[in-house]
Amino acid sequence: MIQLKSLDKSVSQGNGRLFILRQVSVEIAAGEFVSIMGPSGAGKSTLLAVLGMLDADWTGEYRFLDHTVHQMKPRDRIALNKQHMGFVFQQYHLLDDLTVAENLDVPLSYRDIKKSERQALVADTLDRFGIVAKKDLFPRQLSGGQQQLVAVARAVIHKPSLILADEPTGNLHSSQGKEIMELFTQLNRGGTTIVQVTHSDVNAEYGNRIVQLRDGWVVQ
Amino acid sequence: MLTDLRYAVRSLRKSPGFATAAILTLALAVGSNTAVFSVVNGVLLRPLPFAEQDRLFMLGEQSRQGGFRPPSYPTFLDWQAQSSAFARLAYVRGGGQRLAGPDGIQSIVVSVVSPGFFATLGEHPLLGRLFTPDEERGGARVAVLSYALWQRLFGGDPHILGKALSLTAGVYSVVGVLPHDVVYPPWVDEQLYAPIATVAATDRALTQRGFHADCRIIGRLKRGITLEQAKADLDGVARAEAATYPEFNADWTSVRLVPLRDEILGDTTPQLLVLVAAVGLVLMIACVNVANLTLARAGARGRELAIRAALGAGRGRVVRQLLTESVVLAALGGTLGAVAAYSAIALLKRAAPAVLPRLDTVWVDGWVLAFALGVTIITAVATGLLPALRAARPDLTDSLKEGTAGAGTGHGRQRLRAALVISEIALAVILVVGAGLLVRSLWQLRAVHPGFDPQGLVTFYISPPPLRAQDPARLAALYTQVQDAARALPGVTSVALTNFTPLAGGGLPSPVEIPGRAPDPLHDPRVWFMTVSPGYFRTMRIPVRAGREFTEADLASGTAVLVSEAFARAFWPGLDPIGRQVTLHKAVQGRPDFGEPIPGTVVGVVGDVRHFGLDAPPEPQVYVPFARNVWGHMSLVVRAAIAPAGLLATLSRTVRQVDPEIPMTLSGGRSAAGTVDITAGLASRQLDTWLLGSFAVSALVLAGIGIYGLLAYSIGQRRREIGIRLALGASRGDVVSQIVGDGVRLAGVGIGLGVVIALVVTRLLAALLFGVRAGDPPTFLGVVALLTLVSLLASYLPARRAAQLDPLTALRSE
Repeated sequence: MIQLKSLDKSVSQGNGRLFILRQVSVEIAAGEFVSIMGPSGAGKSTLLAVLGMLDADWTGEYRFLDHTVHQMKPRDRIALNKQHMGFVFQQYHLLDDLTVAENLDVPLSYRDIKKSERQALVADTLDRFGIVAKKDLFPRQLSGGQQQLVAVARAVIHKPSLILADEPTGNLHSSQGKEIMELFTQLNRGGTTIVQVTHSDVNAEYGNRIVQLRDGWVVQ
Repeated sequence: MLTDLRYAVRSLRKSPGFATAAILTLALAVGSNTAVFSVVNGVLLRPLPFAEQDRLFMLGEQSRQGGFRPPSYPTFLDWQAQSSAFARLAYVRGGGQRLAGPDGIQSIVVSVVSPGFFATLGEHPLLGRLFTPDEERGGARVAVLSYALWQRLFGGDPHILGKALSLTAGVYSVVGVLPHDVVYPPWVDEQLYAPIATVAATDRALTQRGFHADCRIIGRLKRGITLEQAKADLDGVARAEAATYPEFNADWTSVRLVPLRDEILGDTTPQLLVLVAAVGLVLMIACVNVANLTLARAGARGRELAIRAALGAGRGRVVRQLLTESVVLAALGGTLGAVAAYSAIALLKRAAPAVLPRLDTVWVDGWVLAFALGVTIITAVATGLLPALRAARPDLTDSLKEGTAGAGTGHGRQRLRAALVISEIALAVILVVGAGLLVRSLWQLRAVHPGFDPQGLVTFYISPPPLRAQDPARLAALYTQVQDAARALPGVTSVALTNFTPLAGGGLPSPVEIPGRAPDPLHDPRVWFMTVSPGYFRTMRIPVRAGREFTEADLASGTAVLVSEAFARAFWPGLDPIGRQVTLHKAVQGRPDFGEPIPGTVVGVVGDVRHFGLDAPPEPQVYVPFARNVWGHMSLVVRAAIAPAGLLATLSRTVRQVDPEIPMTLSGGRSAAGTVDITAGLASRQLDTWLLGSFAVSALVLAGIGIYGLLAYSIGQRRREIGIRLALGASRGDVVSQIVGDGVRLAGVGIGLGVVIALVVTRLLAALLFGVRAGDPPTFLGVVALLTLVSLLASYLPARRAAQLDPLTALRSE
């Protein structure tokens, strides 16, 4: 599904450049559950952003399915992101002014989906994640675990083939974190490829492979 | 307090962008308001230079039909003898005289005044003295100069007193100079005053009861006498005059008193009040804008203020600190604005010297500075108090929470700011609609056809020496000679003579008698008496609608006259005017034949001419061959195939060759030769349009900044939300359209509100409009489109910046 070859990412610093990712070559097959690990500043979140096409400022080769991403225009990369990917963030990043149901609708509103169909999808997802009772609540009325549950629901609502999760349990206590990881496992079993960034060895064990990063290099 | 001041300066230095925007906005508002106020103060508020001006009136006869005219000199003398309500009454008559000087002969306006004229006004000289009673009664040849004449002719020579001036009526000695302010009568700024006794023997017009032109009567009410009492007193005198001299005064049975102030200031008051209203709107918009910027800044400083509150700062203390910042801003803006006002006034004086009375004396004085200070204080309070109270509300902790809750942007504050932007846009709509209506009026006026073709037309004002003017036959011969000489010039295609050129301000209304038609003084329009030479209509390109033009034979004999279409419509509606009879009356001032009938037979009908301005509807005109009533001065109209500029000098030389004593310079230093500028009469409208237009542009810019500021601020608050949306698949276009949509929705409410208010408010402009209604749909639609465009642009700029947001950075910054 994903093939990275000799990918570099750097930013200018003073007179020189600071490398965040160096010669990263990684392959991820469809249906895998991969954990990216490493110390702070190793480049884990940056790699996730590159994979999610939120970051276009890199060099090297990136193939996604049968697309050569490194040759694609930004607009086409966004289209690819829209079609195939869902995001889960450590800080949940729900929109505070929108209700749970409205939050779920946000990704659908950016995809050419009819309103009636979107409503059906939202209702279906609320039901699937057991949060129907909370559909009219605002994020600040939910606990951290509930917010992350909504964030995961939002990430999968448009049925992406790849979920990218950045420290999905970083702000949760252990029991809530466990629920989220079990949810990921369930999604993975359903065929969704999952790439997560995590510091937690426990969470990494839910996956079937670990990519270790250190100072931008893949070390394992 | 000093600490607050220090903090305020330090805090503003930390936000140079905010401080610059606020100071410039306030400077614009204070500057424009101060400039307009200085004009209002100089023109309207400052008292006239006449003692107890409330008791001063211009008086005229009023007919039963509502007509108004200055009385003849004999009537004035009767009033003076029989009225008891006035402490003083005085008569002044103006006329052109020739002044011989080292640079040749020039024509100036001499106002001859009855005894006590200056005492009636209560005027004091700047230099020298005014006339003594002995000089006034004895006819001493003494002269008082207006300030403008003293400046132009004598360069403000301080040793002018005692200087001998050679005028048509004799040699006069200068005894005084008037101060630099209002000139009365207000016909021109450059005047020379002389006692009426010096011309009483030679000016026959002073003995004619039927003569009512070029004069004014002023009166100073006795103390304790009311306007009504004075009117009743003079009405009695007027009725007696009507009974005694029915041939001259039959219908003129009452007297109208016009406050001298109203006569001098004319329609300046409503004109200036419109500008005051417009500039007031700019001030309001600017205040709203700065208040909005301040609110945004207070929002961004929520944390700092919360910490201060937590450390024990009371509400008053926080308000004081924020207000101090506003005062510092307003003081800087006000100072800059006052400086800008200086330049604006200088610019206005250069751009519109002749449009407003007393403009020469407008300057920044103590009152104006006090006004600027007042406006500055008002803006400081208006822009600072609301945000300060809002920021210093007791539940600061809530405010802190709002600011840090992420995608929430402090709804209360956001709503308040949106309301401010809406009101700002509504105010801008009102101003832009007002300016738009004036612009449309000006366009309509420029499209009006004057009734003749001004292109390539050159005029020359011929004012022959008085001795030659005594004999009509000799005078006619002189005019013909000048005309022939001009016709012989290379490039000249046609030449003609007329007593009054259109759009030059001159004209003489004349009574007309039509056999078989009883005069209807209530409904009959005024008829303007024109004398012209054959070829006038061809030269002016005024179409002959029926019949024929004058021929040379008409000059020598016969009764041929021509009438304008308006004349035919008024007196013979639906009938053929050709061959009909009219009787006019000789109208040259001071001639023994003044008032004698001129029988006429209509031989042609010509097109209407807008004689008194493009905005004045054409009035009936009757044309007589110039030789039948030879005017004391004439204008030569010349149409040439060459550029007018080249012709002017040649024409002047040619006229000088015919008679070197014909003045080349007229009163006010104008050259006798000139081109016809049909837009010259629009100067006042142009000034109004320019000023209102520039205020409208300011309002548009400020409204644009308001929308931009609000959205830019809100985007700053919504970085995280935008980042999330981008991460969830929103395209850049989605982000742009969402933010632009927010801005345009806001603008839509403001525009709607503004249109409703403008529909009511612009009715006040009705008097200044021409050819458009106050609710003119194209103007309103245009303004809606313009404001929408401005709001689109103002929204697009921050939206584009938001769309370029890096979602990663936005999300990480949380």
